[in-house]
Amino acid sequence: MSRGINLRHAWIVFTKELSDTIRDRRTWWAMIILPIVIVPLMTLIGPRAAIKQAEDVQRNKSDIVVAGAERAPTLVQYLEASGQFNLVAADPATALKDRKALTVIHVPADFEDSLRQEKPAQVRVAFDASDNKSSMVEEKVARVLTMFSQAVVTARLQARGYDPTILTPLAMNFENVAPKEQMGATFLGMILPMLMAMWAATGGLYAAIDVAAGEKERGTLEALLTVPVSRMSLAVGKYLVVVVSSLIAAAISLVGFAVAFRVAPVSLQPGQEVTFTMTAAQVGLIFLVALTLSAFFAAIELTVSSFARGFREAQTYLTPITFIVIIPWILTEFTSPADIPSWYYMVPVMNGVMAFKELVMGIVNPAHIRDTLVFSAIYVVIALRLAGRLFQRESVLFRS
Amino acid sequence: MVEVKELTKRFNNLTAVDRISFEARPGEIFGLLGENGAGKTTTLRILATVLSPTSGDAVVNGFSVTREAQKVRASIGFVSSDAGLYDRLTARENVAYFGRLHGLTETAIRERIENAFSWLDMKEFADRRVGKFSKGMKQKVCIARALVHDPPVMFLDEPTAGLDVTAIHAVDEFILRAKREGKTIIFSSHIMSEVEKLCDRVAIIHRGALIAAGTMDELKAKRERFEDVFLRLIGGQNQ
Repeated sequence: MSRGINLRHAWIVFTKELSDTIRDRRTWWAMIILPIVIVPLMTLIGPRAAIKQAEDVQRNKSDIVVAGAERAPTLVQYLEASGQFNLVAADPATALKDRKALTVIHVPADFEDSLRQEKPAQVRVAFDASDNKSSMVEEKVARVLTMFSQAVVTARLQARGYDPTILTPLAMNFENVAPKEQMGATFLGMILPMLMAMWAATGGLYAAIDVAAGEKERGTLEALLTVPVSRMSLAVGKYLVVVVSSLIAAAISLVGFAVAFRVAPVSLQPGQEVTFTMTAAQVGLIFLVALTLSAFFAAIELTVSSFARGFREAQTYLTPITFIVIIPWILTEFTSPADIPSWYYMVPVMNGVMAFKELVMGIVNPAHIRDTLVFSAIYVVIALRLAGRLFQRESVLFRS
Repeated sequence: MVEVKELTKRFNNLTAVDRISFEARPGEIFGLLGENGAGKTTTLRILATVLSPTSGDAVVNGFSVTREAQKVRASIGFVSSDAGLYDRLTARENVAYFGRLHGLTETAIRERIENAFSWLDMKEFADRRVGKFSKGMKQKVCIARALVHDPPVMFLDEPTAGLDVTAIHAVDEFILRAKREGKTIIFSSHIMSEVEKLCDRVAIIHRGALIAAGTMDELKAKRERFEDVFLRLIGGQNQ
């Protein structure tokens, strides 16, 4: 009796819900403010702080303690000449804990004697591995100590009339063949799929709650059910609003990311900025994949929201969605698309995340894209059917 | 015209409406009088096709609620007590949305709204969002919404509950106006004086069943038959 879909009715519902949603401050927060602010913060500012610390340690003198400095004038002189350290006078036992110094070098009483007698001098380097900066300074200390050690070896060989180069049988040069672009793509391939999936999932959340559970809670559903419009048309109109909201959020998060990337390029290592470009076709395919993710989440969210008694209940049921999204991402974050089995492209959400990763990395695999689109479409139809059926059920519409 | 025939609604083990039959005619205000939970709301929801009956049928404006739900929906206006409106839309937008869903043209909607808003005295707040409206203002919007497609049948489920005196007066005015226009009106309430004030004929519903029907005078004459319910309803009036 009321099963058919009338597109004109669905359109009336859609336009009303859209303008209603746009007037909701929560929507703006979830759909626009969060994606545009959180994304750059999380992905760009976060790593930047770590890089900045590394640069800071490399460029500036670091505070260290040499316990028993008076017993090792040669070493102290070398450390000072390196220009990388401030030798501070602090109690070696507590200096790390009090953070008066970031690394402590313990020199034995017979240090200079051992050097002279050409025996290994026992040097103990203490640092705090739970403290990122202490670990970085420890690496710097280790580098300088190695250089000191090499200088001593060179001197000893020369004293015996040997050429020090005999200790270097291989002259090694390591070369990274990945173009700069590909490095950037790998980096983005790790982060962007999760962002898109996250916004596809959360961007339409409020709209989904508002148009179904909210309609029950406000008591508007009863009046709405007395108009000569099929319940499936109502469900479709509402569904489209959820899809559009989540797509907008996903698109805005992409834009926010692109802008942040332009304004403040990311460096994975100091001095090495990541660069990245995308073709229009890539962007188009990416939005197609984002659409499948949005369409899938929207159908799930509308179904759950229709089932809930009210706003609060819907929110409780739907919050875990944000976490569910992260699972496929965790599973594939560090995996190269070449190592992913093809059935991953048939698993909901997983396929979107993976297809996304491929596209960001510049790989266009028609079979994967086809599987992603076809299987997503199947899941969307199933979920939508379920939502539509719930809209027909009195026990669900009037749960109280 | 509304004809209710042996209407029954069961929820799991609870019989909310138990073989109710009555008839309401055009230009008549028909009252459903009963305590809270007696089955008035369920009956009206079935008549409005929001719920479907377990058995029995009703014919609204010539259409069966079980077989011709869409045509029934096009013929009715529904007003309930808990004024449900879209808070972020203006009064005009709330009403226009329902006008569009009823298939009216934009011109027709504009005319209907102008007309209803003027006699309901709503022009002042027509273009304000309804979120901050008083209960009385909201109920006026609900009335305008229920009237936007000029339905021949009106279902009013405790439309004055929780309203102040002025707002109750406005609702009464609307009901009498609808009666003058020849609409069939079914009005539910648990307050006898209210039913007495407005209704031409009344049915008393108790625990899902119709226990008496007739004009108020007829009911008063044979009150001994349903004394308990009657007394409680009179009690409700004095609260």
